[in-house]
Amino acid sequence: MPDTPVKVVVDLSQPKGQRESTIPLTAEEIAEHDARAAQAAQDEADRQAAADALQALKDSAKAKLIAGDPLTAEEADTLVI
Amino acid sequence: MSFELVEKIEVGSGGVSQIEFTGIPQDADELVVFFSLRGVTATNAYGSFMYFNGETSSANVDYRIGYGVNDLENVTYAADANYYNLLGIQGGANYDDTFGSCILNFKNYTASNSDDPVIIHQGGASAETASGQYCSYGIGNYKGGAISSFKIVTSNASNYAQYSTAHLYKLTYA
Repeated sequence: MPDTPVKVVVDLSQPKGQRESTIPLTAEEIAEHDARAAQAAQDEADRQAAADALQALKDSAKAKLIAGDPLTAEEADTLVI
Repeated sequence: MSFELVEKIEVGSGGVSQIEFTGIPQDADELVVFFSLRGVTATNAYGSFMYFNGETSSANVDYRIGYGVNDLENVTYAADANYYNLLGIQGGANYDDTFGSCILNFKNYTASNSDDPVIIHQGGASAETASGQYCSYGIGNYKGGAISSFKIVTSNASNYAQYSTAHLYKLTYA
């Protein structure tokens, strides 16, 4: 079983030297933590898919330019600012 | 003008999932925070989410972020969330195990003069390879009153690695 995640809390209302404590996350914080992990995985997948699609367009545009074939508007957008 | 270190922390072995400051003194004009952060995952450089006063309402947080990642153009980023997004400020294994850096400023954090606190940041993570740079800058407002506490968590729910640090300063004009 994995260790319970912990947080470091610095309570500035306390005297120096007595402010810092490391304590386990609450059940609510763990639920938020798990939700962030799922969202981050989805975001990363979306980012990778978008990057792959852009690269495919660039590759296709380059091949057509070399061959002298007309580009689609979408392909041209990858070359023209 | 005075610039005083309020507190600093360094993450110990094993890492932590959150870094939280509470009981923030309300006797200064601005707060300045320096973060040096590294996540423990091998994925791209993620950022951190910053929550104020345990805020749960997205109505109380607004921000606009500009960022650049590797060779992609800068784009603005906006979201309706209950946190401020410190995009891309933590390093990771894919960033040569470097530490990301961030300077963050809370202006009017005591919500005085009928104004809301303003949050400004700049930061990023940079690896030694050409495909390993991430930078961001942004500004936001917190509408939930004076900032008396904040916490940061990694946006991908990893731990902050050992030797990650946070230094909190208070700035007084007079």
